[in-house]
Amino acid sequence: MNPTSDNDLAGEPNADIASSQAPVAHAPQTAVAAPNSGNLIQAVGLRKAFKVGDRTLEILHGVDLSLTHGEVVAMVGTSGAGKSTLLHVLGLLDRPSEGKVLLEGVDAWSLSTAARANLRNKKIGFVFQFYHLLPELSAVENVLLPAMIAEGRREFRRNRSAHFDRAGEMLDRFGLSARLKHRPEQLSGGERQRVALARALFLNPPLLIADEPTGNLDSVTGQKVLELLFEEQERRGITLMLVTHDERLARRCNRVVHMGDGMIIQDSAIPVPD
Amino acid sequence: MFRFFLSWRYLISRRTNYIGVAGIFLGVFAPIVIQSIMTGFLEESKRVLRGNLSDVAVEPLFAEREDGRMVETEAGPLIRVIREDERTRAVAVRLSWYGIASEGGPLSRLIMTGGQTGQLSAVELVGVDVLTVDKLALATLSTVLLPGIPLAGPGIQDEIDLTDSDEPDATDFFESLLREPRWGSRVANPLFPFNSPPGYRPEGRRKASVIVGESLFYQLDLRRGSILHIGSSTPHPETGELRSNTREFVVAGSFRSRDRMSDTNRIYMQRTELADFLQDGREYSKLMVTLNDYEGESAAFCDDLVERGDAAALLFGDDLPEVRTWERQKQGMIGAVQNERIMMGIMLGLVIIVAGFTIFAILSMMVFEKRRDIGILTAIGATPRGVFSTFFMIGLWDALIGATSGAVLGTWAALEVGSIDSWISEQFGYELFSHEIFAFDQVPSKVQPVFVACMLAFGIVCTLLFASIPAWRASRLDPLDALRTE
Repeated sequence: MNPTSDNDLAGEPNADIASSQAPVAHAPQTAVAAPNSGNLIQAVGLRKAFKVGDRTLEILHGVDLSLTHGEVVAMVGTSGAGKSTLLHVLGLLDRPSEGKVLLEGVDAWSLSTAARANLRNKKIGFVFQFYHLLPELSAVENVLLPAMIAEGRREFRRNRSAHFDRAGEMLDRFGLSARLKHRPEQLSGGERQRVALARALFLNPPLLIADEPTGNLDSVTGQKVLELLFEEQERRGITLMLVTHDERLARRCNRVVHMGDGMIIQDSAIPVPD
Repeated sequence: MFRFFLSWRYLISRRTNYIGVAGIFLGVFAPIVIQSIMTGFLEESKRVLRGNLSDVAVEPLFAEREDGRMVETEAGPLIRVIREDERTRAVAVRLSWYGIASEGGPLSRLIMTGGQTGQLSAVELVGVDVLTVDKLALATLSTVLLPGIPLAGPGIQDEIDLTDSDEPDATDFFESLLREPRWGSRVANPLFPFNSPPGYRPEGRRKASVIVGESLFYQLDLRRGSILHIGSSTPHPETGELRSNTREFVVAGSFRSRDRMSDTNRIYMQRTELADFLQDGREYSKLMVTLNDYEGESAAFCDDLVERGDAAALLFGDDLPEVRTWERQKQGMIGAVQNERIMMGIMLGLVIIVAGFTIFAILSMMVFEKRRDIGILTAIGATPRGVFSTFFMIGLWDALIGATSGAVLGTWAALEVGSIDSWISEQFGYELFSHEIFAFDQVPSKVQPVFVACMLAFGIVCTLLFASIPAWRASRLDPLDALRTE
């Protein structure tokens, strides 16, 4: 399902976001992107259905979407619109019923479980609304977790010192230098989310998926986390895909993808202010 | 890397895991200690029984065989067959029968008619061949003064051969005489145990000497030099008519075999004296044989002896158990202890299985509680195999720590069980193992390295098997379900 026209937004809660922005000419939503086309990730005809008793409930009705390198995309929509499902499918956590997800030109869902896990580890960073830190590990250990998964015991031991230094630097930059050895329960919500962000970015993935990253934070703390998030995106030049209900936040992105009823109903670029 | 790191972190950060470790520890520790004690008990029991019985007992049935020949009632030919076998180290002749012993006073009446002590009235009369001063003199005369010349007729020469007794090597008869008595009184001269006790001055004919088991000695309130009345009934060798015999003997002392039954109801005397007393035509009833290598040769020795004894009509044959190892003779008791040991092993093995269930329950609970962590791990790149390994390794830590410490401490406790028993007795005034009941000076214990290794392996394997189920379930969890948990 391709993006729709402005008229399709009538009556939608985030219509004001869309109406305030000029519709943009999108990159064509081709069914299959050629490798090295500049797209980082591409969804082609994604459908996702669940069985509920005897009924089949379709959540995604054939979604096509591509994200290029360095793009910052906000995904907005009402609850039940299919934002999170699309995010999980794109994040290689949930297998689509139909369609493909091409990550750097590779059909990710045709890979083996281990290869797909490796893609998740190296290419995708996740930031969740509820932080999702491991409570048994300290802040710095949580940050190092992707590296622990990526490397064998010997390799990690060899790189241990460098990893710790880098994790320490990251947390220092995120304002957590005094919290390295603190457990999640000893950290505030904002601090936890910053640790989660450091974890997501530790292996320098080209794609960062953030599912309502400020949804569980007060506005001031949320703002600080967002500043950090955008700062890191800009610094690293990574693609950021953000699910949010926050209009102001959506306005800060390059592009807003508006979902409704399992389809992309509008996909518009936001002009960069002069 | 994360599996090793995370599993260890999960293990130490959750106290419920310590319960699992403790369960595995006990599951390995308890069987090692108890099996070691049971094995020690069995070995000690065997040692005591073996001392009394020697390696092999030969008990021919003196009756007419199927081929019409009578089984030889003289011991000489069978002894020669046994001695010809180079596997034989020693052989001793025994004559056994049963009777009633009395000190001849009111005490005997009380004992024999009392319900509580009635079992003391029946005694086993055992005739043994040991040198007496008279026979030693005769043998010396024969072998030193007149070498190569028969001293007298064949009967006397046979007697000299027979009294050249292997009794010291074949049984623990002499050891039981030398052992420190608890309630009895040792014979005056263990080299000639059936010599009359010092101070014995008979008014008439000198009475033959007997040596009484120390428990019986105590019950009948005997002393060295006491007169003991022994009565018995035997069938007439030709007519089979039952006849009663009574005779007085003088008590030369007591013996202590450490076998409760023997010490309570056995009386030793010279074999010739017993044969003369019984008058039933039997010269012997049993040969006690000791082998050079019992463990390795007893089975073949018994088979060969049965074959040769049967061929020479020295045994009745017909698959009767005339030649039996001491273990077979005491099959009932040894079998009971062995059975008990096996049953105990099975029951204690169940402890490990129960401990395995504990691990299963703890890990299942952990997997349930850690669903969110599993989702996070999957989201940041852990494979299902990695998730499985993480939880499986918690079981591995449980198994390694619990089973290894159980094996090490169990072995130590089994080796030091005597000291531990003494310490507990001193500290709490409670005797764990009653020495009176078991009649062992120390709590018996024998550690079997193979058993320890088996328990260690069983503990580890069992734990891992039980840990693999929740670990597998963890690896099958849908990461999204897990991530939705908050």
